Amino acid sequence: MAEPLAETATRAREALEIKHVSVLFDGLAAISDVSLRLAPREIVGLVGPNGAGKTTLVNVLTGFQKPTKGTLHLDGADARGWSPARVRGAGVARTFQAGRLFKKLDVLENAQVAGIASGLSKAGARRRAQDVLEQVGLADAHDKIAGSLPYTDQRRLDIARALCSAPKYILLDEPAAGMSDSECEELMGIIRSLPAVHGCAVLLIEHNMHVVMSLSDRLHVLDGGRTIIEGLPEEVQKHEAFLSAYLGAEVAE
Amino acid sequence: MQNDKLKSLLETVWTPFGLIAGLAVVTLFVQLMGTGTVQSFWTEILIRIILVTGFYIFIGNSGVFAFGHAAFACVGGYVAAWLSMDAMFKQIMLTGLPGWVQSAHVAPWLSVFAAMAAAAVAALVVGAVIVRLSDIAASIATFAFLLVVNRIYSNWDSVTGGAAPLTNIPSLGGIWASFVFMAGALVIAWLFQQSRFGLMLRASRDDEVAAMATGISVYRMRLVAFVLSGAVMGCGGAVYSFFLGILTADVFYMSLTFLLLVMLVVGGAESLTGVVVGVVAVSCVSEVLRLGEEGVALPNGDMLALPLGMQQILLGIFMVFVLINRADGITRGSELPLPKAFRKPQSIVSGERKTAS
Ligand SMILES: Nc1ncnc2c1ncn2[C@@H]1O[C@H](COP(=O)(O)OP(=O)(O)O)[C@@H](O)[C@H]1O
Ligand SMILES: [Mg+2]
Repeated sequence: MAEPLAETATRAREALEIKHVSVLFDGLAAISDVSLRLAPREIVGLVGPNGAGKTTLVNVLTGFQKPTKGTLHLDGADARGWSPARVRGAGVARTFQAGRLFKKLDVLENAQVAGIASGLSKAGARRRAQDVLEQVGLADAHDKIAGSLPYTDQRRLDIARALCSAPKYILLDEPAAGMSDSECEELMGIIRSLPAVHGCAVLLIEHNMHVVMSLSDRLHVLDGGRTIIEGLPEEVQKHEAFLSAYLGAEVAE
Repeated sequence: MQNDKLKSLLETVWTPFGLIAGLAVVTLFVQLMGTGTVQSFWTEILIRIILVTGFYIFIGNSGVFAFGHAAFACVGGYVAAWLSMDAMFKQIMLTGLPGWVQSAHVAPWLSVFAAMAAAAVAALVVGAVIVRLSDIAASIATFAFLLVVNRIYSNWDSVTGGAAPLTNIPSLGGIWASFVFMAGALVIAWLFQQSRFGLMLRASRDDEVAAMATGISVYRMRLVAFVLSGAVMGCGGAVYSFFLGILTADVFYMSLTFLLLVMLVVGGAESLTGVVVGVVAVSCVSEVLRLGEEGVALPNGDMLALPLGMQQILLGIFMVFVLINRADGITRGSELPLPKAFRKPQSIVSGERKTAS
């Protein structure tokens, strides 16, 4: 009977988590005292106006940016100072706001190489890539050179590539930017299915409030590098501070 | 289904197979019809393909321009010469060599493998440092390495003969001996580029940040490629020294480096097909220019010749001209296309995908 107890204990530690993190660039704070926790299979929405520090937070969570202050833990292990490749190896995948595909490789290779990097054989990675590409709607684009894809397909491929290494946590930096309403809806359907289909937790950065509200288990609102509010979508919606911060950004854009 | 498998196999091996087959046909033709001059011209082309392939394995897959690889050819060239030369000569001239090397009399083809191993070890030591540098710093550092190696080999009289060339280096055999090593180099390069390491390295070439985010250890991949390319350079250097029969360190220095890099860039640095195309195209142009420097006799008895040194100047201009028109070289990074008749129709490709998933 000791086993279930131990299991509960590990599960409690299972999370991608930062506590009291600050990031300074040349003395200016891009992030100030932010704590955030992403537990297995949950979807957390990260919202805030441009320059709020969302991308910087993703960089901290993936080892691309060392926090000036605060801690980073991955499933209980102290992950501060880990290289991006090591963080990735431990189960955290990300996409990029600016695409960043392997432009001269074809679509299948882009996805396949992620599986290979995670330790699959070439053939195994290829099968996995084929499956994932099918799920994101790129099944007919295998032989296309990634750099030649239309913008929205590039975003989808970025997600497929992240999924191919079978992550436990996936961080999506504005995946729907530049998509039409119907494309965005289709993509959100895919994102909604990630915990069930791929067993991964999702941190979703997305500007469309309607979309984030409907998808997320919890929301985290940043403004000027600080946490304004966090909580269930219904709770957040009621907050005046959030609405003015967010609507302010909407107008500014 | 069997047929599909065959075709998909054909697709993966076509490039090296097609290139090697094409070069074999020309080699056979040259052997049967060519004069001695033409034969040695073509043999030199085959050897340059080995050397440019050595550059390509690292540069083409990593996107980092390493200028110093001729140093590994130098290492390989001397190892091959030391092992295979007549013992008597070594005992008199190269007194600094260890005794077992002085008395060694290894078959030339075998010493090519020793040359590869030595060059690979050198590349491992140098590469461990160099691949950690950023792109520009790495390029400069490889160049510095070439300078160091050249200075050492030019001045270490008791081991390399210094300024006096090593002579009496045995021959590897005819044109086909060089051909076999050339084919081997192409196959190695192709296997690497198709391997999991090659794919990860090419991904990091396109976007290093995304590669790190994908969990690729960029350093490790670059080091693997650096060592392999060093080994192939060692092979090329060895075969070249057997071809020349006479060796100084300056054989593997600036002008060779310049020529090989022009070949790589003109052909297209991002495909193996580009290596072959570049070597053949640039060799032909530079041969014409060399003949131009020698001059032609006009009917009235005067000689019309290019001023000496024009060969390299015009070669540089030729490279610039090609690059202005095709920034990615003649092949633009694509490989030899499979003849249409052998290609899989599109519908079968997607059918295969469904059964596989
Ligand atoms: N590498 C950097 N150097 C200096 N300042 C940076 C750097 N990255 C981000 N910043 C600054 O940090 C703030 C947060 O940026 P970012 O995280 O990209 O915001 P968001 O993704 O929410 O739009 C911005 O003011 C930005 O200018
Ligand atoms: Mg951002």
